[in-house]
Amino acid sequence: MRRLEADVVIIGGGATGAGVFRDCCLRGMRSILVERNDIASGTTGRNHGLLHSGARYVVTDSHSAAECIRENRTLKHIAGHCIEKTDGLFISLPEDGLSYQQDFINGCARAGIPTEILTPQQALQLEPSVNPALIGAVRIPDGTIDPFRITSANILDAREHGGTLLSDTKAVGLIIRMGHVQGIQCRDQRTGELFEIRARQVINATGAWCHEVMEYADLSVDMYHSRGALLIMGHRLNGMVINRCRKPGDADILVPGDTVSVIGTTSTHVGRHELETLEVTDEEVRVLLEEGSKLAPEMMNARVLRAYCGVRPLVSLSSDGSDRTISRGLVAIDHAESDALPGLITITGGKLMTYRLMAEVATDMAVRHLGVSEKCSTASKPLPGALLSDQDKSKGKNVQVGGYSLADSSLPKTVAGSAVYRHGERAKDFVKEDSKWCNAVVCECEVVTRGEILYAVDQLNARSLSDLRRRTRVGMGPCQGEMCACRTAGLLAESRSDQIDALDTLQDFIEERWKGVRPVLWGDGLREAEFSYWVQEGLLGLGSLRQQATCAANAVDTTADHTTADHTAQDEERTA
Amino acid sequence: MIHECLIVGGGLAGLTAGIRCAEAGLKVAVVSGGESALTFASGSIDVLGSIPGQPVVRRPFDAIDCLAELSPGHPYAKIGREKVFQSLGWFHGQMAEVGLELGLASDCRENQWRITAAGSLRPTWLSQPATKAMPWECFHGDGACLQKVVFVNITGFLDFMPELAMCGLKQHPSFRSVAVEHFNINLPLEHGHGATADTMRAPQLASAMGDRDMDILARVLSERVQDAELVVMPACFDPDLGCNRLQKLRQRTGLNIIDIATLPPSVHGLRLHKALRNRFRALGGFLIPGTEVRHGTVDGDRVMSVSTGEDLLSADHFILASGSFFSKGLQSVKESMSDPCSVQEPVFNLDLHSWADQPKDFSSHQFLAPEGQNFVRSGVALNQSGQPMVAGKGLHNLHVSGAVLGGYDPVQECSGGGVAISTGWQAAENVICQVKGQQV
Ligand SMILES: Cc1cc2nc3c(=O)[nH]c(=O)nc-3n(C[C@H](O)[C@H](O)[C@H](O)COP(=O)(O)OP(=O)(O)OC[C@H]3O[C@@H](n4cnc5c(N)ncnc54)[C@H](O)[C@@H]3O)c2cc1C
Ligand SMILES: Cc1cc2nc3c(=O)[nH]c(=O)nc-3n(C[C@H](O)[C@H](O)[C@H](O)COP(=O)(O)OP(=O)(O)OC[C@H]3O[C@@H](n4cnc5c(N)ncnc54)[C@H](O)[C@@H]3O)c2cc1C
Repeated sequence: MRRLEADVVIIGGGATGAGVFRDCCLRGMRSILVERNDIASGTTGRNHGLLHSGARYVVTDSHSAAECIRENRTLKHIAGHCIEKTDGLFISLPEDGLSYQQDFINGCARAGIPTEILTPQQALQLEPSVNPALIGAVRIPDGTIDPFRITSANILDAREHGGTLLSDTKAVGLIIRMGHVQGIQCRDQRTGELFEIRARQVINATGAWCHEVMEYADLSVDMYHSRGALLIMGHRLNGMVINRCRKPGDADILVPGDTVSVIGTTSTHVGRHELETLEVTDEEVRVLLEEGSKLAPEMMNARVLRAYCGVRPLVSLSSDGSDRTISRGLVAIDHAESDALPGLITITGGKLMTYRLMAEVATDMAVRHLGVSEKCSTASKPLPGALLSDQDKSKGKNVQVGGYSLADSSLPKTVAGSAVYRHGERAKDFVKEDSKWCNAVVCECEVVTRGEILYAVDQLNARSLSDLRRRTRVGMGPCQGEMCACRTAGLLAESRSDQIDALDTLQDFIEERWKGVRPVLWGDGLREAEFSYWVQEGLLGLGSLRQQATCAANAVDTTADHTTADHTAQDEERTA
Repeated sequence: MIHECLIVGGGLAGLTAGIRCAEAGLKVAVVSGGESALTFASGSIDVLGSIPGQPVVRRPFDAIDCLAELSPGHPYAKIGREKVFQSLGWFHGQMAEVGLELGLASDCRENQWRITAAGSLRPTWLSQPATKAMPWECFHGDGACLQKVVFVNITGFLDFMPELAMCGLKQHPSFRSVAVEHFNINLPLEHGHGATADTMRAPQLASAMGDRDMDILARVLSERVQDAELVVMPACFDPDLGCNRLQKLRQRTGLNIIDIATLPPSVHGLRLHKALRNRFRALGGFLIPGTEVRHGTVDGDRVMSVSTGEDLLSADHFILASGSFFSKGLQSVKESMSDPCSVQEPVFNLDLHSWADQPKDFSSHQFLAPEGQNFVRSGVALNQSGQPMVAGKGLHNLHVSGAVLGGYDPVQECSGGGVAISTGWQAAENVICQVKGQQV
């Protein structure tokens, strides 16, 4: 059996695992991260993207609130390209009254969260989309955070500091010798190969699935799995985050992000066997729309792009009822202490925006055991891509990076602008003077170029269309990838024909997009879906290809496959 | 001016109906709002390629009897096999009149194959000009009658994906032992005003190509392709009627080159649309483009007029050919957040084929599901006499054709073009019959 070695092996490639990975690598430990699917494909890729100020928790959970405001400030500094400093409003509607507002403001003061009390008129002026019926509002420093980008940036930095990422690799067991955890058994999900990673510390960062890894060592934890549904609106309704100023409830946060707005969320307790069934119900859609349009009435007329949901990895520390009373705080368990099982650390709970703090806590635990003296530096060292100032960012292509000016290129501003928006100063790796058709726009909605796709394949380890979507936003816009998916699949096949079945990944991508569209299939969403269906099935025949393939697989194979389908393309010299 | 027939919608169905009316000497006008499905379609005309539970259809007209038995509400069932055949033959002739020679299989009652840009094979009836490359026997069963296929793209052009097409083609059993290759050819694009192929969709690419580009293509193809029986290129050669650069390229290289539909917009589809409009105008039809009909006024069992918001248009007869959802011939609306959504025909509020009111019954769990999508089957329902209805009451002078009709699945059946043409033709025949009847 193949065996790899490392100081630390991290299980789980969500924001938390990625953060631990980076922290370990920056402190000089040889680290391997295993992720059974792709980075940010778990809860990290299925949330609201709110960079909490902490205000939401000041009345119910002051500890979480304090964590939030600290990390809010830190992330604005180290991850500028993943964050929009939108600020947020907590609005009171007539049915809420103003009594909660006072508790809220006091709580913010205790937690150190700055507040500004606004009149309804002031609020409307700042944020015209807000419900004009409001009776009061408080401004707080909420923001938005792009979960894919932040995870990817952490992974990128870790790899640039010597770390190894193994995606499509599932931890299937722990290696335990004489009461010590000494590594993990893994399975390559593509080939089925089993192999081992020996390590002195195993860090379990599998979020909502952390009980499964603990069970490999016969340990248990009382998870409270809370499912939340969200809707993405077809365009950006609001500039600032809009919250309801009342006890946290359903559909009371509207978060803008890039070109869209996201309304959420709901909360339903689900059993551990329902972690993978993530279809949004009609009832959830109804609640989200009805309640959400109280925040911003314009939502009534907006197109709903898609629906999705995720499962919060909450740990129940008492047996008390509803999940919104359970702490949103992080849970770090050093099993050496709690279970006399050295070599294993579990880090779960928390939030996307506290991932860095969670990583620091877990890594601190690990270094104590490993005798490493290096201190945590992740709170001050900017992530790759975050070297640009806000000013630079808004200037788009006029950015000057390391002597290289994006302005040198003849690109339209949107192309360079989107690239810089998503990848910060790293955009210079692929926004180049055009020699190899790098600036061809593949996805019009999100302005993703051929160069960005190839960069994500080469540098960010994208192996499928869904991987590419997480890294570049390809196919995430209003058209949901009806044409760019096909173009991108062509590019993938061209650049990585060794490893990728372009048709499989295209079909998977289409089905994955459909899952989110189907619960909200009316109006323009249906028009778009019908058009996609005509293109993908009527024009291209992708579905019938799948049926053909099944037939072919069933037919007796008599002729050996000795053909030349994988010939590489060569461009003819231009004969001008 | 009072028209004898006013047609709402200028896509394949509406213009077909218009041409037939005009040919019969009627005073006819077509009012059309936005783009038609032809802008996106492959440009081939499918008649019938698949019936649930049966092997792929080789003789589409013969299969109509069987289809009619399985689904009596199908538009073909109301028209009948021979009339469907007659209407399509007539259509073929009409297009030839304006210089568009659509390709038939050597047995004109048979289907032929269309290769898609993803390498799938779809049964179709009429192909784009003079493509004799893909008769039925060629890819049916084991072993294609080919040894080698080469896909050739223009360097930088994104809407034709040879790598994908190669993967797809290889999945087909009869391509197991066929060599499939591809390469790109870099072109200067003589009329491109400096723009490069990567910024162009197929129609722009087609108009950017000049004689110099064709020379390069001819030279490179002759040099690089020696032994392939089939060369597949993106449809970007002949944007205009009467333009036959592909044919010349075939002659110059001696190669069997076909041009297949790219991602939309489609050069073949646009050209077909142009041919339809030309024919309609040549026969004296009156085209009112860029005008959307908002509302129709019904009195008893008759449509009196339709309104565009500014004008009231009256006529003796009306044909509705407004397409499906994406053409806005059908709409799915949610009255309020808590209401389930419902489907409507927005101009006359015609009765529709019933469908369940939960969004989830409206569609399949899988997008590319073998059983198809229910939303594609929704549309206007007709009564026993083939009339559309409002609240159960038939309308005498309104006829409905094309994708706005319900009760069939053009995508799974491969029947979109054939239904549009035959129902358009039939609607016109009904009108002609009634008008002439009155005159006698
Ligand atoms: C609806 C909803 C809204 C939310 N909104 C916000 C918000 O606005 N702001 C905010 O800060 N937080 C929010 N959160 C919380 C936040 O999303 C999560 O706390 C956070 O993403 C958890 O990250 P993680 O890395 O710990 O877990 P995950 O992202 O779930 O990562 C765990 C990873 O482990 C992998 N894995 C599991 N088992 C194995 C194995 N055996 N081997 C290998 N890999 C394995 C999984 O594939 C997964 O990728 C929200 C959560 C939900 C559900
Ligand atoms: C991507 C794609 C690929 C296809 N491929 C094929 C193929 O390979 N073979 C095949 O046979 N078929 C194919 N089809 C199907 C075929 O093109 C359609 O079935 C057929 O064109 C439908 O014609 P229609 O005239 O009924 O509707 P449409 O072409 O949709 O025309 C309706 C017209 O009515 C107008 N309109 C709507 N409402 C109003 C109003 N109120 N007032 C005025 N005007 C109005 C619309 O703007 C539109 O121009 C394809 C379709 C698509 C979209």
